[in-house]
Amino acid sequence: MGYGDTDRHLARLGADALRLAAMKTLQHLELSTGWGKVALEEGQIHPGDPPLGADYEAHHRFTTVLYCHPAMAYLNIEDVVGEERLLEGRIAVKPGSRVVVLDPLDGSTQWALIRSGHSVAAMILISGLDGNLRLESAVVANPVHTFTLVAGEPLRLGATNGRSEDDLWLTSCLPESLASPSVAVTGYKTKDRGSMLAFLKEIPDWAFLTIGGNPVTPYVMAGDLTAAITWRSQFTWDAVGILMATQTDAVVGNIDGDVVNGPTFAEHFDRVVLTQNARVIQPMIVAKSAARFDELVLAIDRARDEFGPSFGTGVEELDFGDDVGE
Amino acid sequence: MQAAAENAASLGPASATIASTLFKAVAPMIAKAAVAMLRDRRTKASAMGLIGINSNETYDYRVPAANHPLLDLTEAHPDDVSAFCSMAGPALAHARKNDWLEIQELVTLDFSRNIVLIGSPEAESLLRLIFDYRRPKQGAGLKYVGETFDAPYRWMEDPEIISAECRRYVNGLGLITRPNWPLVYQSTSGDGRIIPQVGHDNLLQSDLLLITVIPNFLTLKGLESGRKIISIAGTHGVGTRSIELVLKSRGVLRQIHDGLSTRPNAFQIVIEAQRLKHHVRRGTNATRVTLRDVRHFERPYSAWEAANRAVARRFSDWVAEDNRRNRPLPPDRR
Repeated sequence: MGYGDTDRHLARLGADALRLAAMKTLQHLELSTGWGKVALEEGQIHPGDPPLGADYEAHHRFTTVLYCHPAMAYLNIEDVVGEERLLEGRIAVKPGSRVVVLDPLDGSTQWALIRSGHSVAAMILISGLDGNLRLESAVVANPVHTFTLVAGEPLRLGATNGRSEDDLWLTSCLPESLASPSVAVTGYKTKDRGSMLAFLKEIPDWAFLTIGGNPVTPYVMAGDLTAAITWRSQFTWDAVGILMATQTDAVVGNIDGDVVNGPTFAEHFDRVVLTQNARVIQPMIVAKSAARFDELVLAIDRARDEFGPSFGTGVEELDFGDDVGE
Repeated sequence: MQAAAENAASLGPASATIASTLFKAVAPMIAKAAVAMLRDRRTKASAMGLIGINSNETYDYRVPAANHPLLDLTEAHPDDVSAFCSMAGPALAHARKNDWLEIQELVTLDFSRNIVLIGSPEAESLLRLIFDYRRPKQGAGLKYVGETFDAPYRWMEDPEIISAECRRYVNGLGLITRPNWPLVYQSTSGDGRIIPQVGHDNLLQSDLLLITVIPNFLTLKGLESGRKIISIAGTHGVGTRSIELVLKSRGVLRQIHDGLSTRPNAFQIVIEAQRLKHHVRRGTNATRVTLRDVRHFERPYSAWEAANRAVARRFSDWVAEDNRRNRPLPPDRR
């Protein structure tokens, strides 16, 4: 087994280390008072929502725990990058070494609002002999559940404050059991209100959640949530939940209705995983079934026709009609 | 005493004569006591050296905090504290007695250092990682898995296997009833057990102390630098605190010395704590100790490296086993 070949034991070891660091980060966030916004320095860029003190605290906590883990002696981790620590230039990782990509407080707005609906998303990428990075393991952890993906293995689900040895395999979506289907949308902002209302008009029987992304997408498989939509393009660390969905029988595809399978999406993911901090994962739908996926694609298509060319662009002209305020 | 004699001299010739006489009478006693103290200190230093604790190195001691799985304790178990004080020396014991110790809720431990652990796996969580004991998914006690290394002796703390009970008194807690945990030993004919003796009333008649000294394989840095892990753990608290008697018992120390003449880097010592005195307030204490066994188990460096890898694999789950959950608000908002 040469450099870059997946060593299953090391991959699991890395996943365990990510899991512990995520657990301790979430425990830290229970008590954090870092809800104040952090002013960026001139020229500093922060992807996603404006950063909070808790974002940087969480990054620090995660890396501190990770670097204390005995597994670090075996993993050759060169760096921890991601939402709170952007890359400068192209990252070069030695063959056989690894890099951690981290969003330590995914859903920081929800966390600031209700101390819930957030998660830690982290991936370990390993560099092959050709210097190309590929995903070796990933976790999405919220205060209740942790979803763990190790390359070549099915998705696992376990208690965040529990042991990985008690995890369950999650290969199939739980069936819907509520009276109405539900969809969670991430990336939805007030500037999208017109497009979103047009979309909602097309799914009158569906319940609607305005949070989504990594904290929510895995519950298409593990909960009652029927579907999750990422409304705009994502950074790869925001799309770990989608990658996990492709390892189950959930139906995953873009909002134009092109369904992707697990290997295809994983290959694409590896190819773009550290593309200069760009939003390289296009808007996607994850659904429990093909029928539900098709319903949503159709609804978006109709809403786009109804709303016009600025649909979903985030620069729409809001028009609520003449009866607003009456 | 010299100052006292000078003070007495200032009172007049008769007082000076009395003081001088007193000083002459007491001086040999002081000298004898001082010699005895020095001898005791040397004996203790030698004894500590025998169990791997050398005076020219530093050690981090771990005494399980107030998270005993079976007892509702507000601080460390009295038997573990007693064992710790007997090893750490009279100054610390005096400081504790007078409440001079500063209590810190969170103390970080560098896993690469020399580490002394007091208490059995049931209470001492780090020992669970080292020997690889795991909490069952449901139910109490610990399951032995042993993926790190195999030792000649280990504890058994699984209530599904051990149904026998024993009773003893604990300082400040009164009479307690517990499963009568045995020690398990490896032999050519399979695993055997040594069980602490109980009387007709189930009161403990004897207890066992297992001393384990191994290379510190928790980190590769600790392993490479020759650091050690020293575990002092009884099958019950009586055994744990009998370390105090071991460190004073010349006969037992001599036997241990003879048993370790080859200076092994990994060994275990089994002590039987006997002639137990049961006292409602002060607890149950042994008054005599005897050596049951000294066993070497030298392993190649690669075996301890493998043990380190097992620790790395197990580490996250080990931390998760100690989680305290449901802390809804920051302390200043409770």
